[in-house]
Amino acid sequence: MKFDDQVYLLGIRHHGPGCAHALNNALEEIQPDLVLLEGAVELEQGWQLMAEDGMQPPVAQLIYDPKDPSRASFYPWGEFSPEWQAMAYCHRQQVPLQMMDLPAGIEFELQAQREQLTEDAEQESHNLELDSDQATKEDDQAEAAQSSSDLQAIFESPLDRVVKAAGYSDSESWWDATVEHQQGGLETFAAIAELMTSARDAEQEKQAQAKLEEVSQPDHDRTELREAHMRKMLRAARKTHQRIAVVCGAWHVPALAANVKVKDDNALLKGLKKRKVEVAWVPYTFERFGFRSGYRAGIDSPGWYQHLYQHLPEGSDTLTINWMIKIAHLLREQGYGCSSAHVIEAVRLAQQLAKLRGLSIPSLGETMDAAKAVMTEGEPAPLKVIHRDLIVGNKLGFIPESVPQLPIEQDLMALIKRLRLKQDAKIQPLTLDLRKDSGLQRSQLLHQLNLLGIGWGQPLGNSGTGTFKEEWTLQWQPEFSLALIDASTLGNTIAAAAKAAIQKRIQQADSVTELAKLLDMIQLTDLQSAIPTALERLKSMAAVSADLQDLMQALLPLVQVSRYGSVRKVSSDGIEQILASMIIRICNGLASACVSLDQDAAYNMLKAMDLAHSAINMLEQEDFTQRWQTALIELLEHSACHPVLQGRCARILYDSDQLDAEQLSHEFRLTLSEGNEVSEAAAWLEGLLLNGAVLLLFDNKLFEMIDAWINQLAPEDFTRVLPLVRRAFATFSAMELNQLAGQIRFGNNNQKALAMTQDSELAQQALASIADVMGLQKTK
Amino acid sequence: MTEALKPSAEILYQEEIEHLKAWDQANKHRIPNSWELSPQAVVTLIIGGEVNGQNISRKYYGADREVQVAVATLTTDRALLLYGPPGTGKSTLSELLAAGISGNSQLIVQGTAGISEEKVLYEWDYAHRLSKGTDVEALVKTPIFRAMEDGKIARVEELTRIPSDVQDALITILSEKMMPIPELNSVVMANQGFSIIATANDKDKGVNDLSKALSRRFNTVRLELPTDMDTEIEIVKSKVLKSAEASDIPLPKNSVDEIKRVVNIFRELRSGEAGTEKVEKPSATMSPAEAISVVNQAINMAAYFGDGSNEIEASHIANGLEGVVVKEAEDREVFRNYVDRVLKTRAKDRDLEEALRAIV
Repeated sequence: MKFDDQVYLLGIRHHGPGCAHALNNALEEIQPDLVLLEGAVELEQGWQLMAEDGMQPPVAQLIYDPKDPSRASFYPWGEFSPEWQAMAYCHRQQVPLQMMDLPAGIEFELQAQREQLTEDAEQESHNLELDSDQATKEDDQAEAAQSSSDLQAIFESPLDRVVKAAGYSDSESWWDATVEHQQGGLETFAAIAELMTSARDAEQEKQAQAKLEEVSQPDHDRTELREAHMRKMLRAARKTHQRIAVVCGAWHVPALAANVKVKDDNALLKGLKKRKVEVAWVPYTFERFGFRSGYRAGIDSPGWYQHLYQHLPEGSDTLTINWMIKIAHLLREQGYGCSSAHVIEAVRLAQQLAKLRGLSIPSLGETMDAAKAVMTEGEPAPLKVIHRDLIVGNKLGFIPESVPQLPIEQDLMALIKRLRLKQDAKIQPLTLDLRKDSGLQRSQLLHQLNLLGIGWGQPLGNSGTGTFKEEWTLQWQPEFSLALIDASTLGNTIAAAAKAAIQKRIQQADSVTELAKLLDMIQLTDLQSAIPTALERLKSMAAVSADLQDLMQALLPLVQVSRYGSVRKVSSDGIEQILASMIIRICNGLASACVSLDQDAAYNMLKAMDLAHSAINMLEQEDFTQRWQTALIELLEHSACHPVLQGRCARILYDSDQLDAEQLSHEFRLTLSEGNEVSEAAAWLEGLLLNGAVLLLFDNKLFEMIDAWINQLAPEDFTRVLPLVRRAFATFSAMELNQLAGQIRFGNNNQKALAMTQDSELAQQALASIADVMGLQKTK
Repeated sequence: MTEALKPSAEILYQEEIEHLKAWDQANKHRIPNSWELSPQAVVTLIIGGEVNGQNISRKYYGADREVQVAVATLTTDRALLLYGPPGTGKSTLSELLAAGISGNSQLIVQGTAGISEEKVLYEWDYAHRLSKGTDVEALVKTPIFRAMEDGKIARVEELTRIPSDVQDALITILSEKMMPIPELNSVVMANQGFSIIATANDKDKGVNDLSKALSRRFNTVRLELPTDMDTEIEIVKSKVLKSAEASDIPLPKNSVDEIKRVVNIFRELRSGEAGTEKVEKPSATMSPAEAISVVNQAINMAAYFGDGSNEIEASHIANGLEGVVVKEAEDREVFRNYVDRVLKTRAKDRDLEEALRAIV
């Protein structure tokens, strides 16, 4: 909108593709000698880097406080963002560009002050459960709600009445039809300004009302502050430039046009403290445009916006057709028969729908409704992929090397340097001694990175919490820089991000096992501050979890935490109590949990039993061991229990001297007696033998019993149980198998070394057979 | 004077349709060839709204977007398939669409397992053929045949119950918009305005799935059970009020409360969640349509067998409820558990629990 001879106010919708086109056209028409952009003043430093060779949107500018990296905001730009186009215009035409929004340094300071206030208030009420993370989060949300789409506020305002009079169902469709689906120009901005003015009037009534009711409105105050700053910047610019184009959120246009006294604005802005901040360029993803965190996010369909921006100039038909073809391609990849005829019909339906809904061209909703009705037989599920891959899109921006780095990247580089690690694309082995500080810290860093999805180092084997040595293989892969950027939303240092990540996972954990594993992870990553939260959740979950198997699986990692915490200098008070209650529940419930299980469930239970057994063993507490053994004996005598579990029970009890050889063979004979189903006997045997042949090797009686049992099997029974017995044997090591084979071949107790014998007659026979097999002439 | 038990939609809503026609004319809405109303007007007829100061009642409760897709589909030359569990208003919507678009919702082919191709395409009057020979006069036209000739909407109910080979007879009609009559060496061409609205339900056992060739000729709109409680109550309320009015029965004082109660029980059983408790789900669909019939039955019982207090009693509901929930033997136990665990513990449902205890 032309405000006066000197100033044009161009109200945009952040990330609106139609806006971007209209803005381009308007700028060409105005030919400004200065562009003022709504963006924190600090963004001015380094904006020109956007034109750097190799820069590919989506990218973002990140403003952060280097002393307190948790204070940061992202300013994401896509190619379709009007702001990006404005910057590109300025760079192309060599027009100076100024940012005019309130400095982020002031925003950060204000945020900190607000938090301080809530903190004080909470401490006054002696509420010690203060969570500053929560405060920041709420702050972020407030910010997102306020700034993400100023338009949203308008939709909820009485403005709808205005656009309804013009024949539109709501302001969203008015906006789409008038702005986003057009390639407007300067005239578009006049319409926008008019609409916004009536919207602000309505809003003001609401504000006045709220003031009467004495409702506190921090967001409102913040907007006033920002607008005062923008007016101040505009006044300053007027003194130096003749044709100024102001590009700002549409909502602010009336405020910038308003006649406000200089004195009043200055009074508002006076005495604000400002922090020193830094700005970095980071690659961004379309997916993260959707996250409603940070500045101006909350764009649910960046992929569609990109499409709209790209194809608008080609006309609405091409736009819809191209979009439908993209959908068809994705559906075909999923195996849906989606012919060209489908595409044609879907396009027609989308166009009819748009007409019916009073739109100039089909928007996202119409195309998706049409695709659902025509292409997927009304089924919404296949369209989920479309949402992920097309509407949101998986585009990733790129920042060339010539541009400075992200804070979390800098942190990692510093850590790598300090801990003398080396980034290498080749696999490198690494052995760490956890008793030394450097070893411990390196291990913690690698674990923290793993937690953040940066699998640079892979721990080798089962290097649990119990040893001083840790084996790793290191291999740096290019996609880790992606994960790093993702992690940067969680925190600006590796440690901070890892902490946020583990907190999130603790909150999301839905089984005791998972929580126990997380506790283990907390130790490995040296994030003790997360322990209380984890224990709290564990306590409440372990108390009510109906899933006994879950409890059993969770036992081992928990015991490890409680036992080996000292190795890693971690304290874990309170865990014993949880352990005790869990073990009591397990022992009491074991028998009933093992009843009427099917094959798969029984094998899962067997694994859980083994885990629980080693956990209870490790604890070495008389009371627990006794309870556990009693429970096992009870289970052994339980007839409805799956045989594989009973076999396992016998084995565990035998191993821990609760069952002597006599009793074991008694059990064995009972089970393997002829009256029993052969497959049950085999399952019992499997339970008994699984993991370790020592029992068979050194216990002659048992060996003979099994030998005899196998010998007496009828051929068809043998075939039937063979897979089961094999499965048990498959867990033996090669050496054990060799020894066993020897025993079988030469009989029990005849493990003499094989004597070298020479028998030429026998040798001749063998030679003859070999020659026969190889097709050679028979040797006479 | 006798009245039809259930007048067709175009007669029932004649006044509103006339009003919408005037609205179309006044606003110069574009009306597709052979349509009675503009697409906007059809949508308004179905989902209601205010037009030129007159209120158009809401006749179908469901996703408005789906209604728009349905109408837009019929403006293209594609046929429409309404798909979903029983009792979600497929037939209601199909009737309203036909009434709004063609002014005639009566061209119906009811799909059954035993239907033959003749009932779908055309039949012969054999007496005529024998006496006067095979000519046009001997044709017995099916509703689809007439719809093609007159450029109207034909409705096919329960499409998936029709055997596959008969279903496929529709392919030529839908893709070529004509029906060959080899006996006369002639064809019937479909006139502008012809289309088919089919309904099919996805819960029935033993249905004949649509062939790819046929399903490709349809745009599919899926209708779901209402997701929120208020909508469902609204649906049941509007239908119950209407039928009470039609059959001239005084509405019991506590009808609305009882509707809420029945809908709530339906939703709890359907979702398997009663408050914070988990309950088993019975095999029945328990759609709003069934809730309507339970309440209607209760109102009738209150009117004819009540104690004169003009109130629905728990026992009036209990009978219908049991009939709807218990469809298979296992459902009885499920329902009994629900009654014992949930209804018994809620003070306001104690009366119903007592009434049900005698039955289940």
